[in-house]
Amino acid sequence: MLSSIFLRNRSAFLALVGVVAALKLVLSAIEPASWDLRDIIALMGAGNAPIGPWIALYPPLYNQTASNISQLQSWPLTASLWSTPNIMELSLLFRVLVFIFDIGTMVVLYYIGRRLKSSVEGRLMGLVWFLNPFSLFAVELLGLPDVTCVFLITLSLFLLISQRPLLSAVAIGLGAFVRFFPIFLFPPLLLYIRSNGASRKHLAAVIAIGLVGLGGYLSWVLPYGFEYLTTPTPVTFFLPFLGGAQNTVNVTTFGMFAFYCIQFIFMKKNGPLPVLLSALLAYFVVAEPGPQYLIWLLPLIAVDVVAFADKLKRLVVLAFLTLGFAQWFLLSSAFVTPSGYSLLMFPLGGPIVPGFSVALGNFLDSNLVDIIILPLVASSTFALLIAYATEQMRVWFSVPEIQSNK
Amino acid sequence: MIGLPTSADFLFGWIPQTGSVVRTLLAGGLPSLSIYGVYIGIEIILAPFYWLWTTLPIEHPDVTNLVPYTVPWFSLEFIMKIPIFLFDVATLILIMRIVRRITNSEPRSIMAGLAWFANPYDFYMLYWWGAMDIIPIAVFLLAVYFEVEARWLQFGFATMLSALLRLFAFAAYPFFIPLAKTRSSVRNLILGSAVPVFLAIGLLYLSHDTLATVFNIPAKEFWLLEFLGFNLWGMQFIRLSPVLVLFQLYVVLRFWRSDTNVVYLASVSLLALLLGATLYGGEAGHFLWVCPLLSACVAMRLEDAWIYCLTFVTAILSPTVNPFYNWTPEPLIVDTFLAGAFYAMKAIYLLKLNLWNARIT
Repeated sequence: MLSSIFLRNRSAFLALVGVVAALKLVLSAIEPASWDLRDIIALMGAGNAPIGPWIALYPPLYNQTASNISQLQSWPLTASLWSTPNIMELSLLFRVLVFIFDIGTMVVLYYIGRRLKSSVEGRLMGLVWFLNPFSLFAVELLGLPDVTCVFLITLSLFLLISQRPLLSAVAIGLGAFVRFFPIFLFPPLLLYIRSNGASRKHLAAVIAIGLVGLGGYLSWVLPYGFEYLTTPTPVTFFLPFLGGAQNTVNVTTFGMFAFYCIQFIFMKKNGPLPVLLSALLAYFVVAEPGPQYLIWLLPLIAVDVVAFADKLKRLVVLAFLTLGFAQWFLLSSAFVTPSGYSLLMFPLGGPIVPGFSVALGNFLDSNLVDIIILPLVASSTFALLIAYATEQMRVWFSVPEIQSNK
Repeated sequence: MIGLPTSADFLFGWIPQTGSVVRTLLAGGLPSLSIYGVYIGIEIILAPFYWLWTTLPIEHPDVTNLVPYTVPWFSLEFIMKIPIFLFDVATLILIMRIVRRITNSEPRSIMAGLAWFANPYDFYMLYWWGAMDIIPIAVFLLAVYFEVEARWLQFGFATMLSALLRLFAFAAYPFFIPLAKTRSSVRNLILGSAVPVFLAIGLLYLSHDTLATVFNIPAKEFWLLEFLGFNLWGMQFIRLSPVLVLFQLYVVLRFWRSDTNVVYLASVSLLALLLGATLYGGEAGHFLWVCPLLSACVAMRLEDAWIYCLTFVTAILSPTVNPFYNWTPEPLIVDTFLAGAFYAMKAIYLLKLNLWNARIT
């Protein structure tokens, strides 16, 4: 089979990665700017610079002026794609950093697979991430900066498998410094390290690293008051633990506390993957951040489906990712951008739009989508998410997974 | 029994549209979905009975203004209950055959039949309330019977026909697919299911409707959306009913024994739908869907008969059913209690069915 050539032959695998990487870079140059990229520029224009560590990570990317907003918004609706090289340069500049983290995540996945099983599984894990439409749309096309954290979480799993828990905690701490959600991984990480016989000194060090990460995050978020904590932006995610009606129980707070307690009570000695993945899945179930953020889970899912899943679990994952993508497509009106172009490269607005775009627009605006299709798709995604979380929690009660074959 | 006077509201609600369907058919036309809505299939089945009434040598006043307890009123009520009675008896026969085939026990088969036919809840819903749901329910039971007999083509046909008459069977359909374990059974199941769909599409176009009519149904008949249940997460479009049904399907595939039978599968699919569809204990007619299946379940597992009894006691007392509801001094105070009890029993029944069928590991 063709797929087995790419998995068994190193050169064929690298050639495939090279071709897909080139395609991703071309798309990065010619795709219109997403709402997220535009909003990052807008945040800077509003005086919210330097937006935490982002500017330090890659100055050319975020050191733009507010005037770029209009340039990005005026991405030519009807002109030829190749007639405006300045926009292409800008587009590529904005997307190339996340592309590097995308490649980095794939490389780490390869090494995880090699440690757990063999090079073939490693390549498969890498491809499950790299060829996935989720990573293409969320990373390169949308430009979600979350991919930095995704890379660091994947790295932390690799370090845990390599018996380096402190470095793993550092990776998660760095992730928490740039985005809040990796902080949820600290309690299960502590539990895992403790169940593997770590000393009190190690546990204290992990707690300290976690607090430094959290402190780092708050240090760049709090100067802007609670704005970044209560409203979603491309660089922050609002905290679902805050807010809600008076005298009611916050579902996310309740859910995560309950989850950690259940994990503490029931989880026996186990491998690192279900420990980390189940915590992220639990957060997804109780906070429901939205389908595009499934990339937070995707590398860990890749490890799970390649190395540990049976047929039914793979079916659940496939169905849940497919429905999640469909939900994202419908919620984002076919990935529409500020210029009126969809990330699928067809116009959905503007003065001259072809008939098929008008038909798609009408379909997306129809009652059928809003009241039947979207609820069915979103509910099915959610049900399968719970099913997959159940699958991960089942592992707590079973035989520990293979740590490493090295 | 069918001669008894009824609460009339529900039964007589069917009659004006059925009369209109009869007139359209007698004029050589085909009743259209855009005019008659989603109950068109049931109304076509009821049409001969209404036509029979129009041939009686009595006065035939406007059916929307029938005077109660007059000859036209009694005769129409009697005739419109005939299909209920016929499909009730068909359901009885099917339940008995299904249970006999599964258990190889005549006494259990009789017990299942009695649990359905002598059940006060079913009696009330059919002959007092006039629930025409019994028509698609009987078709659904026929599908279950065909599965027990391993007649896959007919199984697919009857399941889809029932779903087209009333959408409940759509929720059960995914649960039935894993029962087809050979390639030929899968092929026959799909083929059998496709036939009613293509027939329905053909009739749709013959009656000058299009598929757009089908897509516009939720906008026209908004109450159908209640089947999706309430919204779990505010603006996230996550509705309870599909979540429960799909998660139940996962539980079946992951945790159930592979030798389970179609009665249990159909029961859990419909119970999950009923639990999700409405928070407040369910519409009066909806629980009827699961009643014949639960009658079969109780006969197959007599030691848990108390759950069956308690479920039906709470069903009868639930606010949307309770015939004595308006007699209580403060109905608004007790209704939440009674609805809660009924809802809890449905949930417990679902849990129990899952436990009965769970793999022992």
